[in-house]
Amino acid sequence: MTVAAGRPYEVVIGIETHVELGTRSKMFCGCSAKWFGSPPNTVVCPVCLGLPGALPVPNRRAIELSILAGLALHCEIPEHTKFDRKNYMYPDLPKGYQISQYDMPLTVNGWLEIPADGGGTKRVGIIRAHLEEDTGKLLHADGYSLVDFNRSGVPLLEIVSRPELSSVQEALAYATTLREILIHLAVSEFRLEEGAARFDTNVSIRFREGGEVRWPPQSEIKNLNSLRALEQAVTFESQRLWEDWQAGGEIRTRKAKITVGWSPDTGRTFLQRRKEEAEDYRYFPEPDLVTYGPSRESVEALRSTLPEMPEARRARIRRDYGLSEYDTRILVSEPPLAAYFESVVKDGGADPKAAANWITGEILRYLREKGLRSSDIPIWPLQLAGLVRLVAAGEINTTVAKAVFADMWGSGDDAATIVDRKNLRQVSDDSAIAAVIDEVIAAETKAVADYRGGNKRAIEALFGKVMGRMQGKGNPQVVRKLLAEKLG
Amino acid sequence: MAELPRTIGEAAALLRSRRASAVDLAKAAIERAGADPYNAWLTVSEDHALRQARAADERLARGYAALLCGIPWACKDIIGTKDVETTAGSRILDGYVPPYSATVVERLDREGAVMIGKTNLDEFAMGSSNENSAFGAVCNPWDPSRVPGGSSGGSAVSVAAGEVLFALGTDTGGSIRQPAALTGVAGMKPTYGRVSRYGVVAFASSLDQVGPFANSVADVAAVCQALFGQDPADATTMPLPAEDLRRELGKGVKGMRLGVPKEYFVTGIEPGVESAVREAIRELERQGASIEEVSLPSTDHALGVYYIIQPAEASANLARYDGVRYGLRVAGTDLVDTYKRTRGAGFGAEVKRRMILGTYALSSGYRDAYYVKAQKVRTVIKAEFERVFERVDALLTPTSPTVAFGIGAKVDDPLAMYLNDVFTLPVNIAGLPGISIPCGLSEGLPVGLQVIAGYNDEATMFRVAAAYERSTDHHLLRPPSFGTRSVGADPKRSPNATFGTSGTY
Repeated sequence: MTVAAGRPYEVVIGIETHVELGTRSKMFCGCSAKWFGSPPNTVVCPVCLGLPGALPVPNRRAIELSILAGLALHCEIPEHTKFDRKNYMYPDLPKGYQISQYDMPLTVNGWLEIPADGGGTKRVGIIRAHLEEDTGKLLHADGYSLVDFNRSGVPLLEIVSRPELSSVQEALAYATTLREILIHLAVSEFRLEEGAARFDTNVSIRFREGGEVRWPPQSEIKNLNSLRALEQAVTFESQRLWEDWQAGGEIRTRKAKITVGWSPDTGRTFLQRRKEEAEDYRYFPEPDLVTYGPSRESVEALRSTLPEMPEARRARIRRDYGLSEYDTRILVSEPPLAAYFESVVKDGGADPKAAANWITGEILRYLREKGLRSSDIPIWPLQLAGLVRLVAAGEINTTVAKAVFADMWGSGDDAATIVDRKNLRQVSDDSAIAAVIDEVIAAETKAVADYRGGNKRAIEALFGKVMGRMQGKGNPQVVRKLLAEKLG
Repeated sequence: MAELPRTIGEAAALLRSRRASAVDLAKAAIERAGADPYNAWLTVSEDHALRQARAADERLARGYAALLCGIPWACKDIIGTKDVETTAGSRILDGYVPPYSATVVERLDREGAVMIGKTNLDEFAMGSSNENSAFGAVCNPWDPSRVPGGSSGGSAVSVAAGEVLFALGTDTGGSIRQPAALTGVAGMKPTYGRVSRYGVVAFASSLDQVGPFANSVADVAAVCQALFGQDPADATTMPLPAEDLRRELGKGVKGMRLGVPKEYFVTGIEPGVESAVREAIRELERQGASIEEVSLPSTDHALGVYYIIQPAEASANLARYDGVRYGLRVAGTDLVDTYKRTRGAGFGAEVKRRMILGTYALSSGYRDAYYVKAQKVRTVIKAEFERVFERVDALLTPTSPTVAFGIGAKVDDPLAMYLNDVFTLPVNIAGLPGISIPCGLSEGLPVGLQVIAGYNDEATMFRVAAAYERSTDHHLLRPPSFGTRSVGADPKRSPNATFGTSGTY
């Protein structure tokens, strides 16, 4: 038992991660799986609406992506798998049952390596990853509720970890590492913010009391939809369990787990149901589907397509390009960014550090502002390399480069074309700069007097005026040098 | 009232000789269906039928039409039909008009067949007498005080009463074969997985199969020819090579080995039924088949297996009728109350009984003892059939232990009602093909002979059934309520001319 310093109990956490798979179509019908943002009930058909007589046909790609995820998580892929019906009634579940996997999941028994609390790494066991269909969404209004079935039937992979996470930090590390791997595999975009990924988290506390190890029943916190919610809810619930124990509360007598929800507004969990009230899902094999046995050849074929995993990729990028830990982490967090970076450097011959700065700076800022994905950068890697080279060669300064970048983003033109078109080449010629400086000194008598009176900071205002008159094209070093000389 | 030709073959000949048009046949069928005194129809879709008939006439005029083009047929109202209300015989689907047609309907549409309307049935196909319909019982044309069998009672009667030339039913435990036997027509359940279930309101998914009713074995085979084949929308359909199901119809049974399972001639079978079936077996022996007694020792367990698996699957399949999206909604004080009121008002007693049975059989603590064990016994029953089919080409049994019984006679005794299906439901449990054909009368009422064949061996099943049909006149017997004038009949020939001819084409 490892009890963190400063806390009298150990937290035991297991996470069930639900992620929508990045397939084109839904799990059992031809509707688009890219439901987010569509008007309600427009991405639907008889199958995902559960109309009488409709039948499911499994999505082969979803099965492949699940196996791929299982392989990346070092899981076994059993020779036989099947789908089952999980029966419960709720308005967002149009058939009155969810097609899921009960006792023969697609993948079982793996592990995931995460950064450990005390430094180094830790292997967290994966019990299983199984495939199921997502439900619709309820929209609650005043006195009534509406159902949107666009999400109904989207393939959902549920990855169940062993209860081997011992702190909130490890829970976050697990979630982050898992997220990164699934994004890298293109198995899922893991869009927490769209509800396309959720965590159900089992939390319990373990401690010594009177020489005995106590491990009272856990709480399952349902439907955590952000890393922040995961962090806060696990922290809150573990402390609540501890305080309940200290106060001699119901946790001392309770035999079974409870299910709780998380309210971000109050920052508290709330009871959803006790085990005694737990639903009986009456699982049985889905008779509308046949059992399926992924061939060993097909599993090996999928294994051979596994890409470089994020940790290995970070190590290689740090080593090969001499980037900082920080830059590397940002670049590898999104596979398209890392690929973009490598193309700018390898194909475009740009300096790695400068390329990384552009990507982690301007490009990410633009993507965020324009609401674009990292795969949608409108500037080609070779174009960015061209811009980086112009700066390196002293053809333009960094201020002008940002303006050129903005133009490139909109026009799609090369940097050199824009520089020529707008006549932006840097002016380093002493006489041209000196002439402008003379004009400024003649016009800005107050600033000049301030400077000469001892307020050395006044030179910044004069520098700004000179650069302004030169439309930013003056070589900053030359301008500073000459300005200091003339004032001096 | 105008009479339709007896068989598809005769009707096809009329259409091609221009002695009748598809519109003529459709109008005659609509008229007969509209005047039907047996409560066989829930919807007569006149506009839809005439539209299809006009299109069929155009195709016939172009001279390039399939055999079923222009043939009027009836659709059991559990099979979804685009733009035509589909009730499954239940109040819970009140007002439901499917936005899509079942694959079987699409396939018949493609052939140019003309759907006259939707036929009555036991609610969600749960019943053996058609008394469980929310829209009233169906009467048997042979004796209107008796049931036509079920659950596809309306479809059986629509063919038996000469209102259409064929009908589709669904068969989960005998729901095509048993009413076919009780109304004196041919009715057939295909091998599980040969016909798409897409668009057919699900009852018990691992047992349900769509199949035809008709007046001759050749007609049944012709309809199967249009229905069979893998459907990408139904993952349980099989990718089998196309075959001509009618290729062996005329071959006879000489040299064939036909099995008679001794477990099918025990308690509960009426003497008149047994003697008619025994006589049919002797007839096939006379034609040169060798008859062997065989044993299917687990037959006794089939009913128990069936009444666990079937309600278990049904309990899940019917969960979707919750008043949220379509059909009946009885608003309550909250969600659960709305569920309870809607389902309480929408479902009939037998449907509720089976959902409770099925929910129980799947519930935690009972699942292993009931559902899981039933699946194991199901495997044993299949294996016994497979072993028997290593020795014989087909099996001969009675279809139903009794002839048509009185309306109301068994409604208070569900177990007695369930026993109607003891000879048919093992075939569904095993997923085999089976056909019921008329083999005479007992107490003036039709008796059915069931021919069961091995997996995907419908051609053999049709061969045996056709051989029997050729050698007897039982299939020509008609209930005593027929009209006199035949559509397209040559006035110089006797009205019966359209009857006694063989249906070969």
